[in-house]
Amino acid sequence: MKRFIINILIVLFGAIGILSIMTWNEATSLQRANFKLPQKKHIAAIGPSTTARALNDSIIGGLFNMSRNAVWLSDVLPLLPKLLDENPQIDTVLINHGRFLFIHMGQAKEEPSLHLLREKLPLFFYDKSQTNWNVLLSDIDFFAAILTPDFYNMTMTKKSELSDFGFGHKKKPEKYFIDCPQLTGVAEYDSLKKKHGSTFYSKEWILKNCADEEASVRKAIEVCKQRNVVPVLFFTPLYNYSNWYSWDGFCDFIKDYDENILIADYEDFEFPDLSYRSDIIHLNEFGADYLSTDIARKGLNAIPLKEWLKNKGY
Amino acid sequence: MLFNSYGFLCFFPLICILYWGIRAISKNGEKTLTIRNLLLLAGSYYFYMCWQPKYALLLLLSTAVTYGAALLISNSKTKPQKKTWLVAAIVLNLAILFFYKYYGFVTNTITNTFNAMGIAINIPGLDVLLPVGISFYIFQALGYSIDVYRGDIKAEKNFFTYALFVSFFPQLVAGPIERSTNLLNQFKEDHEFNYDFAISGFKLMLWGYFMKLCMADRAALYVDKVFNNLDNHEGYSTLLASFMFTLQIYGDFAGYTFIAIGCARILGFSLHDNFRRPYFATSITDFWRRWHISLSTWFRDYIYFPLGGSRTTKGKTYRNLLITFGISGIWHGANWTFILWGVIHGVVQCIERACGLNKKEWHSWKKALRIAITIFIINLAWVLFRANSINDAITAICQMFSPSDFTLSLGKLWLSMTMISASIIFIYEYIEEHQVNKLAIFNNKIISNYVWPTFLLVCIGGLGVFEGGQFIYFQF
Repeated sequence: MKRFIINILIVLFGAIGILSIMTWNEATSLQRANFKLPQKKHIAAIGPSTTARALNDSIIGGLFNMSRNAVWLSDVLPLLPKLLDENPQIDTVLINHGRFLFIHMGQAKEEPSLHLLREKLPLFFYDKSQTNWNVLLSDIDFFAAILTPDFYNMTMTKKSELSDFGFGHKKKPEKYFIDCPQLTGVAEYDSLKKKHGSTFYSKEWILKNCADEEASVRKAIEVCKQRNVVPVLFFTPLYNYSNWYSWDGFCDFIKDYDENILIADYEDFEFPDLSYRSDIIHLNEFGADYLSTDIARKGLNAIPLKEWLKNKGY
Repeated sequence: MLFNSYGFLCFFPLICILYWGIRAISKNGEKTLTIRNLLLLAGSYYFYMCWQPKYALLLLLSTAVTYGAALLISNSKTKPQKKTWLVAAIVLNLAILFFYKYYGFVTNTITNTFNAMGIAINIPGLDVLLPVGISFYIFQALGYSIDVYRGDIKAEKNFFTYALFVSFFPQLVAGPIERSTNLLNQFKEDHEFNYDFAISGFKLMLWGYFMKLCMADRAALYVDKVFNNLDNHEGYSTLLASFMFTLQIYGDFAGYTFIAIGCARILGFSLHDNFRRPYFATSITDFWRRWHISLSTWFRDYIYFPLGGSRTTKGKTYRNLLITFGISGIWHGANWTFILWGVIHGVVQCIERACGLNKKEWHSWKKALRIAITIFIINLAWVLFRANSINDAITAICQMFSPSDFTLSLGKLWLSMTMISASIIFIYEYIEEHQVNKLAIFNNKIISNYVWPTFLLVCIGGLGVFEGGQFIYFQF
């Protein structure tokens, strides 16, 4: 028995040692992180979870999607200059942000709490998968490269919490249901508030994030212009946002942007049915594949800001 | 509690420490045999109750029914009396199985049939969860009853020992389906800790984890993506998904079995092999001698042979094959897809028997060709196994043979990792199949007991998917 236990311990520690060496090499090289992409990748997409879950860069061959779940544009932005410097072939950057957060700019009818809004939603499919595509930059590389250890740990904790938010299993298309014991709307929101303090997803928290996100958009545009890269504001598909979104407020805000900036507005993109969405602002993997296939076939539909504002009647 | 969960990684070492610790403390192993068996019994019920606590009562019920029936069979003086008790045990156990597994399927089929004839009919449904492993432990218990009836084994008088035989946790929820003549006697004999046996068990466990985490769960990422959304996938992606499922189901089921056998060996028990390199089969008949061996031999001994087997006319032999494999299909699931899958395997075996292909030995390129053809047939049949309905299966099969543009939506990294895992497994099995493992290098203790397990652990750490994938055969 003693010999058996010693044998197992040798094997276990041997394996841990080898895996540590392999991971250590990877970790120490992160400071010199090589963001070199294949030559065909000439478009980068940057943004929060809405972007991460909207574009599949295995389907859109020329695209590199550097967005990630559970982080905002402001978290991802520090990577952009390095990415553009190491990849001169990139000529376009799609910039997405939590546009719904700009609600404070206008007269929204309701408080923009995503989780409270879930109570009022028709029931959707939810898919349990994270983004299994967009694999060129692994999550480990990504987070370790830009985040401090504390923030990384917090983000990982947030990630694991967020993964329980209404993610169930896709069933047959004719059935709508939410298979998640935690999805109770107000109860869920309240429990999170209790856990993280009153600042979590409160209006104050959202307004602060709005300001951060807006600043990030401007910064991203600036980074692109410095490197002669075309910035494109990319709007991911949203569902039925009219009750909680103010168009006038947003247009009033965005008109001050560089008039040459392009807008790729996919907010009204039509899906065959609701089963392609995860919630009102996120697509699930089926939705991402569907949208990405459409973009891959037809090309990106991007128009100048002025034309877009005109189309919106502004 | 899944084998690939942190809970099990705590539970199993604890059971081992307690089991062997109790034996080590007492100088006479016989005296502590009862205590150790009770420990295993308690552990096994705890293991089962981690899924669905209330369904442990079903396990207990099946155990009690077959235990009682065996004693009554044993005490009966006449054959008709023995048969009565046997039939009672079979009917009661199959009733439990029918209620929980097949009631919904049967009522839906009747309702749909009548609706198709324009007759509205309403049969009340039942909202019950399928108890995990019910098909496995019921068949194991029934096998025991039949063995007692046939006189292959004496009825076990100790209820706790028998209960342990039915509920032994390594093989409780997904096999192998053990025979009483093998496993039951092992619980009545004291055995010492054997290093070589335990190390072989440890290596088998690692091998099972490698198959499950590195090949099966990795392949599943693509399979689920395609089969849950067939309308959005065409041609080559469906074809690739079908091959990935062929890898997934083997890695998943064989992986579980190897972990189960490995666990049992570390505890000093020997379970039967359940897989013997099935994708090296040269015919479907050969495939069933290599795949889920415990189930196929169960059906052979308790259904095929009693029907007459092959010791009858050709027509009846074919009939017996079709019945046996039809029942095998039903056993796998309450859906027409499984029944059709079973029937297809039966039909192909009938054809092989008619053409004399089941007994022929193949060599060199002919053998390779036969293996390729067999895998192709198996792969097509697996589509039925995986699809949600016969319509979906037909859609998938039609798509598989329609040329289309192909996009690998999971990326090349995923494909590389899956193929590396699959290659390691098939190279290892090739070595075993051609008995190259008898070479000295593979018998070197350092390589066998240290290098190989370390390599497997490193591969599991590097290639494994750790998002808690369920084992496929749990649904049976």
